[in-house]
Amino acid sequence: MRTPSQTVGPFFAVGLRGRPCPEGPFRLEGRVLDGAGDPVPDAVVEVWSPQAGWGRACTDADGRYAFTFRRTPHLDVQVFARGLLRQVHTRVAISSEHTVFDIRLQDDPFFVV
Amino acid sequence: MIPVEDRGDPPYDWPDYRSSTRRAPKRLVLLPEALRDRSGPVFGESDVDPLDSDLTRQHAGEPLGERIIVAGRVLDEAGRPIPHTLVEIWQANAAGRYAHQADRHPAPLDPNFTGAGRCLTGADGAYRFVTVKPGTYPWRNHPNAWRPAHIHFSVFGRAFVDRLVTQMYFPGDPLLDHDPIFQSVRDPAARQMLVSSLELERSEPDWALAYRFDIVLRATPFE
Repeated sequence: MRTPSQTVGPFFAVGLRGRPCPEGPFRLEGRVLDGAGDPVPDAVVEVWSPQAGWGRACTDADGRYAFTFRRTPHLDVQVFARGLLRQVHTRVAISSEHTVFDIRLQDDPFFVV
Repeated sequence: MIPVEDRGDPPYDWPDYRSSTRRAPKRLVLLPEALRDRSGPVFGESDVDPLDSDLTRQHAGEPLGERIIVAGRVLDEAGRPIPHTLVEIWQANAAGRYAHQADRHPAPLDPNFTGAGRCLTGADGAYRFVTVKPGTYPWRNHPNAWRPAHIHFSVFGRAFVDRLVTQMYFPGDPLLDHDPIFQSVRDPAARQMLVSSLELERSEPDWALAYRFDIVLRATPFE
């Protein structure tokens, strides 16, 4: 049996530091939005791919996050926030140097992994 | 219906936890096996400082509160240790206050306590922190709501999809019965995995009690 998930809560910034991916010319940015369309200013966004490595960003007051990274066909994305008892998982295709990817928590599909 | 609670995890949508109403996802699809990436980030000694694992020695003086040792192993469901992986923790101080500007609870901050720790697991998956027992604190989820004492944990498995953020609780805490976050885990056996156990053998006499908290992740097969 696995250890269950619990929410990251509102005070994760005490312990979870942001970290950039290894530097590269590609950029992903967007906002995290709740079911009312309001920004989520207390979310942790993490990205991973074998090519781009791992990065972590905390959203700002407008719910914005951004990463720069090396060429990769896609990034796996996880979002943690107060109100999420488990993180959500998604994937974004990276087909150009600049990708805008808003994450609408109650409108977008997420993977059950 | 997608089986979203198959690993003992809480449901996303849990109305007793008020913040979930506008944030819990509503559209869930099973991850196609072809998209399942079995890789994940690798960490090394440059990611941590030895002092990061002792939360009582990060300032000029010692923090107030009950000094404790929190130790355990990070394993997968097959019982295999997850070596050299990053474990991050954060917590309130002994008075129940986080060193965070958004925490408005009128309990004192402790100038000698930040409440953040990190370390890498050893070859056997073991980790160990020294800290102080966090206090309980009120929150606004419902009238007279108080969180049981807890330490937040963030861990990485072998694959990024196995990533886990959770909370460790203390045995015998009467607030556990009243906490909607703890109670969101519906399976009692799974819920019990969130509760640490007092471990006298690992305690240091005349210095600190020890609590054991093992963390079990999905057993993603090796690449």
